[in-house]
Amino acid sequence: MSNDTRYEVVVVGAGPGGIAAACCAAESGKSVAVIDENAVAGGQFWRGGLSQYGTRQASQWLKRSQAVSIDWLENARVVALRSPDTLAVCRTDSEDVRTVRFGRLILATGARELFLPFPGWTIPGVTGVGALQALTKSGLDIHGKRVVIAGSGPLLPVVALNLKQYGADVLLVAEQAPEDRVGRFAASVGEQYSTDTWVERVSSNGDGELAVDIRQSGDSIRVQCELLACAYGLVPNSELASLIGCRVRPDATIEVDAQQSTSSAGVYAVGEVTGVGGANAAIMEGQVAGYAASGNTEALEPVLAQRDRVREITERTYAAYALREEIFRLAEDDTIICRCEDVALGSLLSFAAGRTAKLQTRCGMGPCQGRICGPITTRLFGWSSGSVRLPGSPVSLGQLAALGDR
Amino acid sequence: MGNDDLSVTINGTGFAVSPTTSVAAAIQNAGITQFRRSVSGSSRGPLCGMGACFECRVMIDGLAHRRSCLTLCRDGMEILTDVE
Amino acid sequence: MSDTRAHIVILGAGIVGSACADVFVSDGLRVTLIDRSFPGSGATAEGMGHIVAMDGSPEELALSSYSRELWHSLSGSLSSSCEYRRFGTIWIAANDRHMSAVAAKHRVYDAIGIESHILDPAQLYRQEPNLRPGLAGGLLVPDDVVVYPPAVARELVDRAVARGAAAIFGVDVVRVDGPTVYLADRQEITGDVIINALGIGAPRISPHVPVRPRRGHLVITERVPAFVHHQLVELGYLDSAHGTSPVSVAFNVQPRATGQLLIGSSREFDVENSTVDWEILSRMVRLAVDYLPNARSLDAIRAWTGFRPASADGLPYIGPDPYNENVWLATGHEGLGITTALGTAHLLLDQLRGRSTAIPAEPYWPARILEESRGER
Ligand SMILES: Cc1cc2nc3c(=O)[nH]c(=O)nc-3n(C[C@H](O)[C@H](O)[C@H](O)COP(=O)(O)OP(=O)(O)OC[C@H]3O[C@@H](n4cnc5c(N)ncnc54)[C@H](O)[C@@H]3O)c2cc1C
Ligand SMILES: Cc1cc2nc3c(=O)[nH]c(=O)nc-3n(C[C@H](O)[C@H](O)[C@H](O)COP(=O)(O)OP(=O)(O)OC[C@H]3O[C@@H](n4cnc5c(N)ncnc54)[C@H](O)[C@@H]3O)c2cc1C
Ligand code: FES
Repeated sequence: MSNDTRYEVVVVGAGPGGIAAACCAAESGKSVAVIDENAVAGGQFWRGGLSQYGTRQASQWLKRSQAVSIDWLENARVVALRSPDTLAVCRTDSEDVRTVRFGRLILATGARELFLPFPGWTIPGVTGVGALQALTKSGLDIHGKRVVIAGSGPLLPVVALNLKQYGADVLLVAEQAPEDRVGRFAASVGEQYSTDTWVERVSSNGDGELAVDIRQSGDSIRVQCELLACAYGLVPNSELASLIGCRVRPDATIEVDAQQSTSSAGVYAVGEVTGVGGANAAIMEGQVAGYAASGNTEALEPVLAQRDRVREITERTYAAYALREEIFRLAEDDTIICRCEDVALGSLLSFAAGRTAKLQTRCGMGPCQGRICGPITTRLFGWSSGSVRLPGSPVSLGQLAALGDR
Repeated sequence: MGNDDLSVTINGTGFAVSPTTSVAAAIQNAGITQFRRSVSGSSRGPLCGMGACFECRVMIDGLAHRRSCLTLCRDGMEILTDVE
Repeated sequence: MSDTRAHIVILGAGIVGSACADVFVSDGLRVTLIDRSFPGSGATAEGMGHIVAMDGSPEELALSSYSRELWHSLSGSLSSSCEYRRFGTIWIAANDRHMSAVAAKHRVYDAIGIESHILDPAQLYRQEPNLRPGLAGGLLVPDDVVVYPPAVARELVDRAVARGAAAIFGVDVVRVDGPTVYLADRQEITGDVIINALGIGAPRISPHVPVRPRRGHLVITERVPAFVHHQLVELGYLDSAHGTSPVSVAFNVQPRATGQLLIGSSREFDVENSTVDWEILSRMVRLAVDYLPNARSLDAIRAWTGFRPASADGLPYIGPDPYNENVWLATGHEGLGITTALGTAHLLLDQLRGRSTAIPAEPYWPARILEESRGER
C-alpha cells in the first residue's frame, strides 16, 4: 500500500467549513491535507469549485487557499480510522487505497438532505432540492423543464432562483412553514413562492410527466411537471464521527465545545455536521477549528465572537422552518420507507424499536446503510439511529483487503 | 457549459458530453429516467445528487452498482442503465 | 415427564430457545419463554445461518446431520422471510493434500447416508466459475442449507405463542433458585423445568457452566446475484474451527437469498470488544478475493462481529444441569448453533418425556464436563 504521509492537520470534507479550516491551519504554519470524495473541492455550497463562483466570499477563500501550501486529496473517501492517528482512505475513481496520518483531525463532512416520505416519492424525477441543484451544476440540462420545488428551508428560494438562471420553468415553490415566519424570503423568488403549502402525493402518468397533488392553504391543487424537488432541510453526515468514537447527539449532530473540539481528543468538527446551518456559519466554525487545532490562540480570539454572532443569526433563521405535523403523516401503508430494500410503512408499524425492525424487515440494511431511512424512522417512530459499522461507506473488497496490508 | 468534447455510450448509443458532466446528468440528458430497478422491481432514479442514497446506481465500464451522481464522464465510457 | 401439562420455562429466545419453545408447545407442554431483548437478537442475529453436516467429531456429525434432516422437514412451514435455500456446500480443495481430505470426508458422509459428490477441477469450475484457477477440486454436499436465522427465530416464537406459549420479552433474567426464575422487574416465574438457553449469557444464571464467547467477523456485500451458487468453504476450515491458535481465519463465502455475499469467517477467544478489527477483517477479505478474484470490485457494505457461545470441548451442553435439578442446559453451540438448534430441541423434548431419542443423547450431557470440574474443586 502507498504512502502513509503525516500531516499536522488533516481536514475531511472540502466544503466551506473544511476550506476555511484548512486555510487557517496552513496560515498558522501547519502542514495540512484536505480529503474529499468529490473530484473538485467546494462541498455543497461551492460545488464544482471556488473558481466557478463570482462572489466576493468565494474569491476571498480561493485567494487564501492559493496563497498557502495545502495538499488536496480529491476523489478520496475516508472510510474509517485505520489506527488511532491514521485514516483509511479509498479512491473513488480507482481501486487505490492509502492511509493518511494526522496530528489533529477536523471533520467537515457536511450534511445530506432530509427526505420525508409521501406517496410517490420514489418515482424517478422526484429528487431532493439541493440534489436537483447539484445535478444541474453537474450538467443536467433543465432548460425549459417544468419544475416544482417543495419542502422546507432557506434552500428552497436559493435553488429556485438558481434553477431559473439555468432556464428552468419553476412553476411553484411550496414552503410548508407559515407565512408569518418566513415571509421575507418570498420576495426574492416572486409569485411562485407559496407558504403553508406542501406536497401530499405524486403520481406518474408515464412519458415523464408527474402529477403533483399539493395542499395549499386548505385547498388541494394538482400541478403537472417534469421534475419535483422536495426536501425538508438537512441531516448531518456524522457516520465517520461515530466510527471514530466522537459523541454524536440523538439528532445526529456532533457534540462540540467552544473551540469546535469533539469528545475525542484532537478531533474537531465544523459546519453543517455540528448542526449549525448555512455556509457562513460553516466558514466561521472552520476558522475557529483551524486556529484551535494549530494552537494559534492569537488568531483564534477574534473569530470566536464572530462565529457566535453568525451562529445566532442562522439559528434564528432556521427556527422558522419547524416542520408541521401533517408532513409526518403523508406516508400510507404501501409507501416505501427504506428505498434500498423496499420496506413499506405498513410492515414497520408493529415494531417497537429500530433494531428489531431492521433485523426482521431489512429496513436500513441496504447499501445506503440507513442514511436515507434512518432520519425518517427517527422522526416517524422515534427510533434511535442504528449503529455505524465499518466501512463508513461502501468500499470494494479489493480496497478492504489492501487497507489491511501494511 | 464547456465544449462537448467527450463521447460516451449510454445503453449502446453514443452521446457527446462535456468533461464536467456527471454520469447521472448525462443519463438524464439522454432522456432516460429509470436508472435502475429496486429490489422489488420498481423504477428508480437519482434522489440525493450527492452519493448518499445509492438510487442512481448504474453499470459503468463493466462495473455494477456505480453511483452515477459521483462519477464524472470520461472519454469512451460505457454506461448501462437498468442492469442487476 | 409424565405430566403432559408440565410447565417449562425457557430462558433465552435465540435460535435454541425459540426452537425449544416451538417443539415443546407442539407436544402439548406449557411453555413460558423469556428474553431480555427480542427473539433472535443475540448470536442468532450475528452469524451466517449455514445449515451444515459438520464432521469435526462423530458426535458433532450425528447431531448436525440429525438437525439438518429436521430443517429439511421444517422448511415447508417457513415463510419467505426466513430465506431458506438448499444451496448446498462445496468444500474446496486447493491442493492434492486437500483432495485426499475430500476423499476421506466423502467416505464419512457416505457411511451415514449423507449425499456428497467428489468434484474434479472441471466439475468444480462448472459449478463455480468465479473460483480462481488452479484448484484441485472439491466435495459437493447438495443438501446443506442457508437460512436467515433471526427471521426463523421470530417465526418459531410466533408459532409457539399462537399455540399458547407465554412470552416475556424485554426483561432480564437475574437468577434462578430451585424451580423459580427471578426477573429484573421482580416477577417470579416457577416452572417444573427451567431450560437455560441463554447462549453466551448462560453462565450468569448457571455460573459453573463453562461457556466462552468466541468472536467472529463477517462482511456483507452489495447484491450480485449468481456470483456463487453454493456455500464455499475451504477445507482448512476444520483445522481452524477447532484449532487452538488465538486467531484463525478461513475462506467461507455464502450466497444469500438476496443475491448478496456473506463473507466469513474468523475465530478468536477472549475478546469481549465488538469493534471490527482491521487486521482480521482484511485477512479474511484477502482470503475471499484470493479464492474469488472477480470479487475484488464488489462493494462491501457492512462489516460486524458476533460472539459464538463456545463450550469447553466443542460440543454443546444439552441435558440436565448436575448442579440444579430444576435446570436443563441448552447452550455452548458455538459456531453450529443455527444448525443444531433443532436437534437440541428434539433431544431435550424426548428426554423430558422419557422417550427414546433419535440419536444417543449422552455425548451432549453437561455432566461430561461439569462432573469433571466438580471433582477438581
Ligand atoms: C445538496 C445540498 C445543496 C446545498 N445548496 C446550498 C446552497 O445553494 N446555498 C447554501 O447556502 N447552502 C446550501 N446547502 C447547505 C450547505 O451544505 C451548507 O451550508 C454548507 O455547504 C456547509 O458547509 P460544510 O463545510 O459544513 O459541508 P459541505 O459543503 O457539505 O461539505 C462537506 C464535504 O465533505 C465531503 N465528505 C463527507 N464525508 C466524507 C468522507 N468520509 N470522505 C471524504 N469526503 C467526505 C462531502 O462530499 C462534501 O464535499 C446545501 C446543502 C446540500 C446538502
Ligand atoms: C460470526 C458467526 C458465524 C456463525 N455462523 C454459523 C453458521 O453458519 N451456522 C450455524 O449453525 N451457526 C453459526 N453460528 C453460531 C450460531 O449463531 C450460534 O451458535 C447460535 O446463534 C446460538 O444460539 P443461542 O440461542 O444459543 O444464543 P443467542 O442467539 O445468543 O440467544 C441467547 C438469548 O438469550 C438472551 N439473554 C442472554 N442473557 C440473558 C439474561 N440474563 N436475561 C434474559 N435474556 C438473556 C439474549 O438476549 C439472546 O436472545 C455463527 C456465529 C457467529 C458469531
Ligand atoms: S443520487 Fe443519491 S447516490 Fe447518487
